[in-house]
Amino acid sequence: METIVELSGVCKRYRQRIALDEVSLAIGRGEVVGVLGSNGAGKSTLLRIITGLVRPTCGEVRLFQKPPNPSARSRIGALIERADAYPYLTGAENLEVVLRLRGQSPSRSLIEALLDRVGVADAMDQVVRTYSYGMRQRLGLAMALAGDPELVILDEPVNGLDPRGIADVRQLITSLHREGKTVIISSHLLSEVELVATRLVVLRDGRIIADGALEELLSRVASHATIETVQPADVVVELLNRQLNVEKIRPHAVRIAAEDVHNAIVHLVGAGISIRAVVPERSLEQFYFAATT
Amino acid sequence: MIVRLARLELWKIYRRPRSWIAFAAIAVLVSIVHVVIFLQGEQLTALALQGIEHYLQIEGRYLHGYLVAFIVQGLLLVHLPFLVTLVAGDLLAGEAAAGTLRVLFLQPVARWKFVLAKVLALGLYVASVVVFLAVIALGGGVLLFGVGDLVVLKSAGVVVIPSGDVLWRFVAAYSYNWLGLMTVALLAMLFGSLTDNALGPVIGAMAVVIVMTAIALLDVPLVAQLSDWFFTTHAAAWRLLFESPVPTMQVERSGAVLVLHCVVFSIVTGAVVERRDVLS
Repeated sequence: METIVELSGVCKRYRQRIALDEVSLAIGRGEVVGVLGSNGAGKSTLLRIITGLVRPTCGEVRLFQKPPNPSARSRIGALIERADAYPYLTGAENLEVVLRLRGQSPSRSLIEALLDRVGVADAMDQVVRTYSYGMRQRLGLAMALAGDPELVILDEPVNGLDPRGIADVRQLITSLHREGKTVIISSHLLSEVELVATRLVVLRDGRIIADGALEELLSRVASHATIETVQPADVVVELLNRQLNVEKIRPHAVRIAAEDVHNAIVHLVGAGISIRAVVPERSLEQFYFAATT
Repeated sequence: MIVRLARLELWKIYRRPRSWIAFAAIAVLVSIVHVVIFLQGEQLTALALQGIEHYLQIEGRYLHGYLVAFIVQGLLLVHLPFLVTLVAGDLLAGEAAAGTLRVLFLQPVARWKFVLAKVLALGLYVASVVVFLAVIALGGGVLLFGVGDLVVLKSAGVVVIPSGDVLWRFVAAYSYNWLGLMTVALLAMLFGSLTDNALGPVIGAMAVVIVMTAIALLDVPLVAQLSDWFFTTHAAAWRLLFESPVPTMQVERSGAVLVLHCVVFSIVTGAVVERRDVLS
């Protein structure tokens, strides 16, 4: 997989405070990376360093295997923290500014298509001063997508959005992933990150404390598992309840503590029970708290 | 690229309601001056000539459009820098406060190019303000009061400039005014590169103007040497263009000092912006 973002030993100090501490990270093309961490963990600093808004105190950043120069930045679109725009310009004019800066011809149809993709095309001729917070956020997303970037960086993209807007952003990220774009997303809404990310990077006190594929990381924190069997769940409960605590949850499925799964499988196989599947129960929230506390 | 960026910056400047304050203020102030002079000009000039009337006898019309434009130029010495710093201070600090500096710096354009584009756009904006002043003050004054020989009072005496020799002096004076205004505007822009507060650079630049002007008034040799390098000392050198003969060397030196300030302020602004972390 082609590496498009590479950080080697990157650190950032703000006077006495260390915001990032020797962070090394490589992100490949097509990944959807969720960056997690509590407030002050270094998420925004990391994203700002990748986008060139903040200069690292030490270490090296490479984008598309090149130093982070304007040519490399032309392949990145970003929405960092808040979706800010010129309040005295219309939504379409704000997008026109960004397109022009990206060396693109800002045709009306292109602007309309971009705003339509984020669901704010109806308000394209209104001055941004009159936009709601959610509309501004959508405009910010359109500005991040201007110029068809290969890497899209979204810092808290669902901030201020209503449930419909959150679902739209989820849909947008999924479609970007399908198009082969690389997406880096930071959000406090863990359930949303869980739905879209293929990889997680967890930061604490400016250091990466976990980095890996979503499935792999979540499997580490499964507290319970569901065992699905061919035989009825009542038979399984009858068989296991003598040694283990088992709960019937469906006609052919039982729930059991993760640490008991191995014993249960041994007993069930010994008793001639056919196992269809063992599904660990895990959530990003469980993983996040386990990793950051 | 730079021209494209400068056009974009200029478009943004003129789309901001704040940018039109200077034009509105000039229109109002100059109109008031015109009305006052139209109604009470003779009394006012008589008042101005009080004390020297025994040594000087002026025949013919001396209250005309050229004199009115000259008076306006002197009256707006403080107001104009303030009006242009409203826009200049906002170019970086206002964008930082609004978060749009982040939007700009996320784009694939080197930061120094943004600074250069903003300097060029600011230059054109200030030029448009000066041209507007010229049209209103000089053009309006000539239309209302006609033309004639320009009588300029100096502390050392009186200079009478023939009517046919006046216009080029005004063109030069307005051009010089542009240079003086650009110096203050670029100082405000420099201050704007150091802060996210849009008002700070305006106050900062005007404070520097006031402090430098006050220091220059101190009658101390050391201060005199120092103040000879203050841009405020040279900003009013447009008056030299209404002397006869024009002290060309002095005008050129003053102009050079202002140009030097403009270059230094622009370079420092570029260096600050280039190294700045965008945290807002």
